[in-house]
Amino acid sequence: MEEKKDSAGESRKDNFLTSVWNFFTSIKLTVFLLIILALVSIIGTVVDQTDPAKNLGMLEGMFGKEDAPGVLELLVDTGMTNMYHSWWFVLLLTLLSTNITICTLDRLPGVFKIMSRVQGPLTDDTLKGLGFKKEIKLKGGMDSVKDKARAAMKASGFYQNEAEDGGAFHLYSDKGKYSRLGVYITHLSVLIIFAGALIGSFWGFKGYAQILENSSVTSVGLINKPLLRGDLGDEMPLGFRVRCDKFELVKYETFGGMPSNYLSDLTVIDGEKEVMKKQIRVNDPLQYKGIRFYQSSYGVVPEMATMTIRVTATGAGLNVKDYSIKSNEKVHIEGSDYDMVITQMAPDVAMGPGNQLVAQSDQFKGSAAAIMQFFDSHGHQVDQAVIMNMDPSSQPKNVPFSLSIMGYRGPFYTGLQVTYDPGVWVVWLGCTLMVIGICVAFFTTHKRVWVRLKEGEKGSVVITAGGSANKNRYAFERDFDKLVERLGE
Amino acid sequence: MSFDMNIKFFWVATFSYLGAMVFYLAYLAFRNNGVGKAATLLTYFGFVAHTVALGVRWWESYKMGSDIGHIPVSNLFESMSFGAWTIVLIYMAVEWNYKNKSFGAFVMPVAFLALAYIGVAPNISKDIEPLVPALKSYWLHIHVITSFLGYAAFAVSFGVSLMYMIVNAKEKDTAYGFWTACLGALISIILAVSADAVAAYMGLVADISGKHMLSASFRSSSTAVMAVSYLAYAGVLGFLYATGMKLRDSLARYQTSSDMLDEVGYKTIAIGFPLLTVGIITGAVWANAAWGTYWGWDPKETWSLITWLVYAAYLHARLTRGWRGVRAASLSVFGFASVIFTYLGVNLLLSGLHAYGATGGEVDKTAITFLFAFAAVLAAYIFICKMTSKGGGKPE
Ligand code: HEM
Repeated sequence: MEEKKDSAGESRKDNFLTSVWNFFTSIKLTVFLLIILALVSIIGTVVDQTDPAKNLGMLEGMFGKEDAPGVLELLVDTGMTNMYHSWWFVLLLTLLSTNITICTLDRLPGVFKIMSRVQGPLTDDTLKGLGFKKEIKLKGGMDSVKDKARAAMKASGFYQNEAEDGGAFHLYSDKGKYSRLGVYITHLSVLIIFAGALIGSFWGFKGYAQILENSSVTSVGLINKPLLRGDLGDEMPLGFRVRCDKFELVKYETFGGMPSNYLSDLTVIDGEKEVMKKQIRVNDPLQYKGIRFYQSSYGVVPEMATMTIRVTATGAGLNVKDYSIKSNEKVHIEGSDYDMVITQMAPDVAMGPGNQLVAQSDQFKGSAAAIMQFFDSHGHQVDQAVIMNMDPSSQPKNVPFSLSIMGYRGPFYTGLQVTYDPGVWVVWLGCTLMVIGICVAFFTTHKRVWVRLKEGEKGSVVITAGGSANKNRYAFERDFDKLVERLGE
Repeated sequence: MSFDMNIKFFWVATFSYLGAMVFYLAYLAFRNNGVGKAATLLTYFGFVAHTVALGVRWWESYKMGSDIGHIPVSNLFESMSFGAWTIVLIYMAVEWNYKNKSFGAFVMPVAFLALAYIGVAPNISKDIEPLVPALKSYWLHIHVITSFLGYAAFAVSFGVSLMYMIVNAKEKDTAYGFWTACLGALISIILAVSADAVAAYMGLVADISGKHMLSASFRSSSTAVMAVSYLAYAGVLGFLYATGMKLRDSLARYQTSSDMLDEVGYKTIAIGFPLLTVGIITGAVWANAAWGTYWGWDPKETWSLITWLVYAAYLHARLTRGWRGVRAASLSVFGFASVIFTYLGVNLLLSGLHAYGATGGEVDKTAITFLFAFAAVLAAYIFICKMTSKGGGKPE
């Protein structure tokens, strides 16, 4: 557009504002931004975003060992390894939000105008502008045709208004106006979701905690700090205490003991009082004061685990007794002169290469093993043996006992993901609005229909039908044709 | 007690779809109404058997143990079977609503192949497996069902858009190059997957699932097999270039109005988009319940967002800029390519948190090579079409 430059600064500013405004009302910009966002998101799925170093392998494959570190540095500097938080990605989202806002402000007044328009009887002017129209002639008296036309409109779901005007009888209907708002509800919902995400990153945090059974924490390690709390260190104080009373791993009976669920019994203690107890499991967190605790991992603390050893005296009397022993703890074997110590214990081992025992998991299985030492009453070591349930013949030779492993129980620690996100409800509100908005936009139509009956020549009646729909024209065409068919019957 | 009744129904469905596919192709070639009816009947029959197979599998999972029972959409076998089921469902709705059987020849091969593939792949387990703890969520059910219905709607839109471009071909220009390339890529992939299935069935290759996909053709360890595959691929494209107009003429005989195709191509996206939206949202709700993060930018999530953005762009281009016809249809094609990548490519090529097709954290190099070589051949082909068209490469 060529515009004359005039000296008034006001007007030049106006022009500038207008062109910015026009830039942001353009749907070309929208399509461009959506496609660009899609394209740059692809980068984010190829370049690992969790840990920059993880990309080194791929880069070495592409650029050789020499150049890979340099390329990685370049990726880090341009924000490619933390793309979704990089300034240019945020800029794209800001542009999209501005685009949506301005576009809405630009169009909404016009839409309200259309919606507040009151439909009148059909005029020849209106008829000209309609996308669907049809004229038919019917024999018969006006009154009977009127009744038939009413019935036809009713059958098609268009019966709303009647009028006598300009020597003609009119039926007309205006339905689904609100359909025009669907688009704006959808667009608003995008902004609301963005707002929810922003609230989350300004005030929310994400952290983790490992709590031993029967112990508690009052703060958690931080993974994501609230943006507004730069003063925080690596720890986030909770303001209350969370205790783990018990951790339990539930397994399927079949399927080789595949885990079926992880359960932690948690207690919240606020100001010396137990205020809440809940057994959490995967997909079912505990929430207190907006902070949520999710079951995410677990483990055994090996130094604190106990193994249950059954000692059977091989001599006279054959007495049998179970002992629960921690590693490196000397235990007296009752009714004898001997002490025993477990120097190493493993609840689940497999035979590795070179007949080495390799620990497999921290679950007690038939494949448990322990390395044990035996001492006489003077404290001299008299024997050492590997006790393995897999191989019952592996037993000490110099002491009169045979041993087997009956159980293993560590204090478990439960691994919890801890989050606080005050924006999440805003996000869900936005999501709900988005679904509603999209459904209104796609599955409802603003339909207007007119029927005019005029006395024709020789006792006939001329019926003029017209209609318009703001979308779904193909479906509307069928409705309209059906109406015309009914009118003509 | 064994729990494989569902597999028997599964095979009934597979062979019914094979029959339906043959009849739809015959219908396309001979336009005999009886043949068309038989195709539809076989589709209905196969669909009922397929539905029973899914239902029985669900029931059998509960028989195995109340803690094991779950809706059959969790491992690769179940999810592909369910995906094929939704495609047939949406297709039947389209055929019924528009009283037109000519799409069947495009849809049924896909449904049949998906089932045959998971049926014979030696490393895809057909057993009912218990769920890992993270997958035990009702949100997950809604998430999977809505996403799949959305994908199926997009698949139908893709097929219809392709038909639109075929029916509207005027001369051998860039647009002609584009749709013959799409069709050629589709046929080549279908052939390559069939080769996988046959090779696995005959015991020639050990594994065809996950990162071993296409190992009987484009990604074979034998250079000769690989070379033959690419030659065959070029051959398919050349054949389509030569016979595309004949295909157009034979489709044109159905007098499928191109307005109708354009409309169906849009309508199916208008149905798929809200479904995908609900799918993504319920996925976010699930992730929030499981990990406390509704959006983690993991590759699978991100690719579903990419798909969503492409279709959002389609809708804006169409509704506000009046994109119709070939331009709209080609966006639908890109959208569907993104769907395929979200579903298979992410598992094949990229690491992710998601349940099946785990390939470990690294990008598979032969897969990347294949992707680039395959795309390069397509691009070269379209470029040649553009240069040799009468317009001399100028856009219409
Ligand atoms: C991620 C962002 C967006 C989403 C999910 C979205 C979604 C939608 C949807 C579903 C429709 C279809 C409505 C219909 O059936 O008529 C629509 C239409 C529309 N969108 Fe967006 N939109 C987005 C961004 C934008 C932006 C940034 C603009 C700003 C220019 C925009 C402008 C429009 C307009 C003007 C229409 C009206 C179409 C008509 O008149 O029928 N959209 N949008």
